[in-house]
Amino acid sequence: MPWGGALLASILQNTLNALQWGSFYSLIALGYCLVYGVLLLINFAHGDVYMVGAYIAFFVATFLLASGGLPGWVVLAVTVPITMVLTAAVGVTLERVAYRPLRRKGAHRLYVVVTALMCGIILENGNLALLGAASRAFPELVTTTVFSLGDVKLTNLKVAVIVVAIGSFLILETIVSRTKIGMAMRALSYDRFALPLMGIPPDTVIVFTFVLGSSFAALAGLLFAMSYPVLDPYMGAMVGWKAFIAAVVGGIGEIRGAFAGGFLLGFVEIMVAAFLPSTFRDLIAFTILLFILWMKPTGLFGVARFQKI
Amino acid sequence: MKNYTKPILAAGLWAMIAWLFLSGRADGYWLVALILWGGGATFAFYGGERAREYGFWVVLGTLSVGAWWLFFQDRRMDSDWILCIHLLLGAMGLVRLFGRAAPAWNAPFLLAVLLFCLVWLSYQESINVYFQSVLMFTGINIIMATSLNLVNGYMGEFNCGHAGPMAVGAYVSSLMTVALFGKSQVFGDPSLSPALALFGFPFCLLVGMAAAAFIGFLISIPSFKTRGDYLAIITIAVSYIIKSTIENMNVIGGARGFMGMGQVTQAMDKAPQVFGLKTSWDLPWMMIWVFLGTVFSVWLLRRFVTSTYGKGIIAICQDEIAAEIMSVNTNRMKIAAFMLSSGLAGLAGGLLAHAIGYVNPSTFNILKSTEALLMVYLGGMGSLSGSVIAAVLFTVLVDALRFIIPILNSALHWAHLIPSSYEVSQVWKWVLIPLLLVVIMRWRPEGLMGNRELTDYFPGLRDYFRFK
Repeated sequence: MPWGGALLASILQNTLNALQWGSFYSLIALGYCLVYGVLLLINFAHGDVYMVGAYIAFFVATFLLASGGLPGWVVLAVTVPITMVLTAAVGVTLERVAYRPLRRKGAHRLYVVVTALMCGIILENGNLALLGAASRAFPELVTTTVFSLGDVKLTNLKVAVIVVAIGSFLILETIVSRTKIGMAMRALSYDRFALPLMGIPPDTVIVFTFVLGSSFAALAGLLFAMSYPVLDPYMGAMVGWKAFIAAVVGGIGEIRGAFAGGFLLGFVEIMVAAFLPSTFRDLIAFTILLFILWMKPTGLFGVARFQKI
Repeated sequence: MKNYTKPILAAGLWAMIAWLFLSGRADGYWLVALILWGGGATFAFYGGERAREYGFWVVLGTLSVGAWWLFFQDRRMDSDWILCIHLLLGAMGLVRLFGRAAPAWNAPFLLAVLLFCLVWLSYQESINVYFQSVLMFTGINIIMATSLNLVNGYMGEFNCGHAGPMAVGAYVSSLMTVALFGKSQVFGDPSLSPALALFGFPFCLLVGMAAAAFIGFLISIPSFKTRGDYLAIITIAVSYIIKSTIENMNVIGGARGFMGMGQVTQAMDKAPQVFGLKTSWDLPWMMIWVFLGTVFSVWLLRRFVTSTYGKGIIAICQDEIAAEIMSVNTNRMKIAAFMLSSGLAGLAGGLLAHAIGYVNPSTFNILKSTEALLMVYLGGMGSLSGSVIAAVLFTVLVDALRFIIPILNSALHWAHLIPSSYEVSQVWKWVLIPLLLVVIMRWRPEGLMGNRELTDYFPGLRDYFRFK
């Protein structure tokens, strides 16, 4: 094998890895972006909702595997909707208990953001306190099949992750741009005071937004747990911050932006880790992102909002 | 509703006097003094206008003079705590009586007495090393919260990377002190006499502050164009880049951290050698430095935001375009705000590194920035005294829970509310604190103080300090 071929294979392989890694960021960034687009609220608890999703998936899958002799793919097919529903319930609970009262009292936007930050800390440490520090191994639900194309290796899981991420993006894009509730979401972000005058209940729209965001975070958690089957309570903290950064670099509030930003961050991280010492990963990734924001201050897809006096 | 403040205060005072007498803690001079004090206070509470104005403080002032006189006469006290409480109350009385003559000196005088009390109590080991460290962390947190409040509260930006400049300040000042006054593997023997440590330390801190302020300058450049959440990302990214850079610098310890500051703080005791004296000043130096740093930060920030120049920052928060039209040089104000905020964060970092004697890049992770954010928003955006109160509350809460959680654990086990196999561990601290803060936020959705200061709620406090 000539040297050039090996390099090409390595680049292709890393591109595939980057697509998979970026898919997680994208799925989480989509949730950030939905809530931000509607409420202008940076839901910092979102990374931890993703962690809760992974844990819920773990408990549901383990319970189903233990309770009956179901085959792996049936368990997976049942786990996905249950996890999404339960995690959506967690997201909506946060909204009802923590954010809505503050919104009702007319608190400054940043106080709600800090409350979200604290909810995230409660979720991760509450998990640590209740379930202990031991990390858990996710059961193998689907046997991994490896496809080899020359030197490039591809697993069915990797393909599934990428396909699910792209599919979720298309679904969300369709919901927001084509459906009635999507129109209500856009209307809420456009003018939250005019919305009730048009006979649309804003709280329903907000709850729906949280349901969407949290359930896709649950999907990301489930897929992450299947790809890297070790769960720990702090898995959401770092990924959450990074997904938020990805959403902003893409242009926060834009679904396309969050999707592209997630893949961009994943791509940069994997490529740096592949070709440079891995301790430089954060350094170089963030320098590149900083440079992008410097060049385009409202992100890749963001549109500058002009402020009237 | 009837006001019960006075009877409760008077009853508390007399209960304290009775307790001091019955437990044998107060006799002789102190008993007479306390009874005089209590009598004067009660008289002042229930007397007329004039009595209220002067009676209380006359008694306190005379007592304070007596206490000082006794202290310098034979240096023997029944209790250091009683001495210090008297000194503080007496100083307040003196300020109340004679403060109008020279209002600018009231606050420095009170703070000097407070510093003296803290140093005296530490020197006498009336407050132990643990409590001293809690006091130091309180001071450092106050610097951290108030400096972040300048950008997040007064200017209305969302800086979530306050730990970045802190790390720079901590590393630069630590490297300097260790290179100059300490022996280490990196720098070898000290390049200056360790006896100079006490005098060189503030300069090292200043250099750390300057380095951190430079980071603030770098952040402020994109802030000309970038605002809001995009700027938040820039600050996070900068703090990650700083942390990651330090982790990759193996010369100064990399991810393992850097140490050797302990010997520098110990070398401060040798300061008299500079003057050819054989004695050693065995004082809690770090506490003095943290105290001075805290006072300096709050003073500087207060001066800045109340100045005509600094009001430009508040104008930017309210409307940037209107501020620009009203001839506020917004770019320049942003540079000033970010540099001042980051510089003071560097001061907090330098003090933290020397108070612990050890510095590690993972100390300055996103959690540190989160703590700073919590303190700012708990106190209220644009309220310096709110930030101070929140920092004190937060630090005390963190350390109090260390003792409360074991008690809670045994109480819950005793009541059979939790299974006996489960122990309530210290992890619950970081569940209970955010939970409490969420509840406080629900109760006061604009932080404890809103955007007002303590003096707006208690105008009487203005007699004790003046920032003009």
